[in-house]
Amino acid sequence: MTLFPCPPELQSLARLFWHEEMASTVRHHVRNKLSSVRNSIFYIRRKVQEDTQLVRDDPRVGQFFQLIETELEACSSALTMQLPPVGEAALIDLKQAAADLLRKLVFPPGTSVEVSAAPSTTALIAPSELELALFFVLEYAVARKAGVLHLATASSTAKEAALELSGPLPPGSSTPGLKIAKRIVSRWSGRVEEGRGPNGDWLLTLWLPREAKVNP
Amino acid sequence: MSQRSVLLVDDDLGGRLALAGVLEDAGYQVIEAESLAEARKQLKALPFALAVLDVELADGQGPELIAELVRAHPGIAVAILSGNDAATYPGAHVSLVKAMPTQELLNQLELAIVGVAR
Repeated sequence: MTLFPCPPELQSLARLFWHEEMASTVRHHVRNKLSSVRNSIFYIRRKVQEDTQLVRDDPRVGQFFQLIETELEACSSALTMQLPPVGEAALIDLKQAAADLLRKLVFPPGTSVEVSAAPSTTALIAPSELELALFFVLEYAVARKAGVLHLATASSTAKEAALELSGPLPPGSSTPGLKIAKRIVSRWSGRVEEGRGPNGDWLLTLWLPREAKVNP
Repeated sequence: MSQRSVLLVDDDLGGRLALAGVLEDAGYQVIEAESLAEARKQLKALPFALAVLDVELADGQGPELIAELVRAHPGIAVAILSGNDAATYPGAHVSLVKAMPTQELLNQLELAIVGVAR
């Protein structure tokens, strides 16, 4: 389930979000197809309505168009269902949350994480979801054979708190876990940016809201 | 009619064909592209008033085009039409989820064009 060991409660939550990720992939695919059907029907209905004789002679033509619309609406509504927030949102001290998570993890040889002494910053998010997002970000770095990583709060603004993970990172591909981390952060109206820091090292920043503006 | 030109970027053939048909029927002139590369080739095909971008494309993400579109057509309205769960995209004038009612979609696109033109 995860690329390196983590506590059972985190494994359970990871499993839940794996399922949500799969559901999201299905939702995406079905929406594409529903969209084609819906727009096609809209087009055909317009054309048929121009042929007033057809609509007048057979009332079922109009009824069936209405039925299709109703069924499509029901399908679209079903696709809006998403995993509800896991726990209540709370103001979390990001540095403390990172330190708490790191105490629970055993990294493979060669990888370690240093938490910097930068001032602490708070963000509004469900604690367990933040923990899982952080775990998947770290898992991504481990999968990329990271060496010594630095975790710090930095560059925060009045509305957003930033948590940065940086270090030398060999080239490599993304992980499904990173996608989940991005989904979690996005659920709470945040975002994840990946790029290079001032010293050229890999830098991944989690931007999290400091105030309530919740997506889930 | 040049102010009604649309660049439609979507790698889903069925979705692209159906939406292009609806847009043309509503009076727009539509140029279709199935990838970022093709969209870049078509970037100056017409003085576009609107771009409708899918998010997940074979060679990248639709929103990557936003800056180039705005540079090429300063008055363009950019709509993201995604199969993903609701999300916002920086630089886009409107972010829509696929499979919404077609008339509502047309209304939203029209509003985006009018909003940018103001």
